[in-house]
Amino acid sequence: MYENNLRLFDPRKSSVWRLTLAFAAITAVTLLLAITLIYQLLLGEQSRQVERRLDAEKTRIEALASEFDKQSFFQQLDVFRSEGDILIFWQSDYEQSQQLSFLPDNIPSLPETVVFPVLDTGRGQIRLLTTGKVKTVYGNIVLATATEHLQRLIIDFKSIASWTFIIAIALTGLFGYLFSRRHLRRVNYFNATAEQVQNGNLSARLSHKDKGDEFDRLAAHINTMLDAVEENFALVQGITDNIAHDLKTPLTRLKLNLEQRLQKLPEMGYELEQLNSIINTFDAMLKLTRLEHGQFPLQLETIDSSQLANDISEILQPSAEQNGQSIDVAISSSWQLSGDRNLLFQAIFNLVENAIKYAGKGATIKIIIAEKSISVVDNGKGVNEHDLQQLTKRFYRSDPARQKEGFGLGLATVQAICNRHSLNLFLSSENGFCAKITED
Amino acid sequence: MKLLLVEDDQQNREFLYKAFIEQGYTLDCSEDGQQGLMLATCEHYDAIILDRMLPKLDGLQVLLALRATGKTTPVLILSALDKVDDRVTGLKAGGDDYLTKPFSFSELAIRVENLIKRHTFHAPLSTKISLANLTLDYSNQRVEVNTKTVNLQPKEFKLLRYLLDHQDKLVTRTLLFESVWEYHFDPGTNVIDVHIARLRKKLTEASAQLEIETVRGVGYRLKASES
Repeated sequence: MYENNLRLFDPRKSSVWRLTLAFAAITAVTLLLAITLIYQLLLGEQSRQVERRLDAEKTRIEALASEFDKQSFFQQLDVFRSEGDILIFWQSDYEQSQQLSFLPDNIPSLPETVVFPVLDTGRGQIRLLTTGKVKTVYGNIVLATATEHLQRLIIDFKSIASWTFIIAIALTGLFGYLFSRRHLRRVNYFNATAEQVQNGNLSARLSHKDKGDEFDRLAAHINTMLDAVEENFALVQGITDNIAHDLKTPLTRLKLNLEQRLQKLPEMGYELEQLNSIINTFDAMLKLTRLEHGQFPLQLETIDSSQLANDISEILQPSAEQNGQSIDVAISSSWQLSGDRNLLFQAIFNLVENAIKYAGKGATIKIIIAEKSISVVDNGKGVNEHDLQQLTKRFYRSDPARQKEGFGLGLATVQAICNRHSLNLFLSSENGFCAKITED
Repeated sequence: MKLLLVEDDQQNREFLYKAFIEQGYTLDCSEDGQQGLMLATCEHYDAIILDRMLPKLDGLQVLLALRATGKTTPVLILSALDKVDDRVTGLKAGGDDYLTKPFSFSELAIRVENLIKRHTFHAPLSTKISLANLTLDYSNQRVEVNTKTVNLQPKEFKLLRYLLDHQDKLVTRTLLFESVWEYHFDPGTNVIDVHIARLRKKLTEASAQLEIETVRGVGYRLKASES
C-alpha cells in the first residue's frame, strides 16, 4: 500500500513531467539558436571586421613588396606602423622587429589568424593580439592588432550565455517538476476520493473552488454525479426499509396462523420452516444494511476472545463431527477487546460455520487466538484468488456447485461487524481457507 | 395473571388475545399508544406486551412515560426492527425483553411467562425438578433417572433444565440458545438439533421416560413418554 502510494506520488510518472521534458528540450534548442544568432550578429561581425582589416593590410603590404626595393619597403612599413593601429613586425636581416622580443612560429598566413597574449612592458599588462603573417619576397611580415576588448567580450558572452542556458533549463525542469507534483497531487486526491466511494463511502465528496480551473469544474461534475448515486442508493435503501416494515405485519399474521394450525396439522411444519427461512434472510439483510450504515448501536463491553472461541467451538463441535470434522481452539496469548458481545459472537460463529460448510469432510478447523487477533483456519480446499475478493459481497457464492443452505450474507455480515468495531478482516487461501480478524 | 397488549394491527391483536386467553391469562387490549399508556399507569398488570410502532404515541415514548411514573411492570417490546429501532435502545428505555416481528406465539408466551416469574420472584421450595422418572437438582448439578446419576455436560444440563422448567410447552431455538449459551442470536435449525439429539440419546441410554419432541418450524417440547 505504501509502495503503491509512492508510485502514485512520483511526479516523474506524470504526463505533465513528460511535457516538461519536451518543453525543456524545445527551450534548449531555441536558446542555442538565439545565442548563436546574437553571437554572430554582435561579436562574429567584429571579429570578421578585424580579419578584414588585417586582410586589407596584407594586400597593401603585398603591393608594396612588389613595387619597392627592400630598403624602401621597410621604410614604408615603418611609416605604416606609425600611422595606423595595426602592429607590424618582421624578422629579417635588414632590421629586427622591435616591439616584440619573440615571435611564435605557428602564426598562420593571412587571412587565417591566431590570437595570443603578449606582455606589454610599456603599459605593464597582458594584451591579446590577433595576428597573421604575410609572405613577401623580403620575408615574413607579421600583422597584429590588439583585440583584448573583443576577446574579453567573447569570453564574457560565452560565460553569460552558458549560465543563461543552464539556469533557463534548470528553471524549466524545476517548475515542470513542481507543476507536475501539484497536478499529480490533485489527480491523486481525485483517485483517493474515488477509492473511498469504491469502498462504500458514498458520501465522500471532492472539495473545490466555485470559480476554479478545469480540475475544480471536474470535481464539481463528479460531486453532482455522486450526489445522484447517493440519492438513488438512499432511495433503494428507503424502499427496502419500507418493504421490510410493511411486510413484517402480514408475515407476523402468517406465522402466528401457521403455528396455530400446526397443532392440528403437523405437516404444516414444512411451510413454517420455509417461512422462517424467508424471515431469516429478511432479518439478515436488514441487519447487514443497518450495520453497514452505522444504524446498529453497539452494546460495548469487554470481551474475552478465548471465552468466545470456546463457546463457539462447544456449540458447533457436534455439527462439525457430523461432517467428520473437528474444531480445535489454540490460544497463544489472550486477547480482551471492547465490543458488542452478540455481534462478535456472530462474526466468529459465521466464520466457523462457513468452514464447516465448505472445508469438506475430514477437515480440521482451528480457532487461533494470538496477540490482538483471532483467526479461523481450515485445511479444506480453499477458494481461488478471484473469489477471495468477492466473498464479502452480499449474496456472493463462489461456486454454484457448492450451493449450501445459507443466505450468502455470512461473510458480508462478518465484514460489516468488523468495520463497525474498527477491526480488520483478512481473508486468505493457502492450503485451505483462513479468515483473520485483527485489531490495529 | 393479567396482561396488557398494546398492538395496532387488528388481526394480530385478536389472534394474540385469543391465544393468551387459551393459556389462561386475562387480557386488556389497546390499539394505540395513548390509550395503552393510560391503561398501563392506571391498572395493575403482571406484564405488558408493547408494540414498538404505534399510532398517536410511539411504543418507546409509552415505555419512557410509564417508567417515569415509577411503575415497574415488566414490559416486553414487540419490534418490526426497522430503521430507527433496535434492541439496545428498547432495553435501555426500560424494556425487560425484546421480541422481533414476525415472532412465534410459543416464544412470546414463554417470554411473558419468564418475565412474570422473574418479576415476582420468590425462592422455590425445592431445588429439584422432576418429570417421570427423572429428577434434576440444580443445587448440586445432578441429574438422576431412577436414582441413577446421568452424566451430562454443563451445557446439556442447562438445556435439560430449561426444557424441564418449561415442560409440556413449546420452546423455540432462540429461547434455548439465549438461556443456555447466553447469546442473543439465532444459530439456525441444525446447530441446536444436534445438541438436542445428543441430549436425547443420553436420556434414552439412561432409560429416562421422557421425550424431547421436535416440532418442525417452531422448536422442541419436553414431555413424559406415553408408555
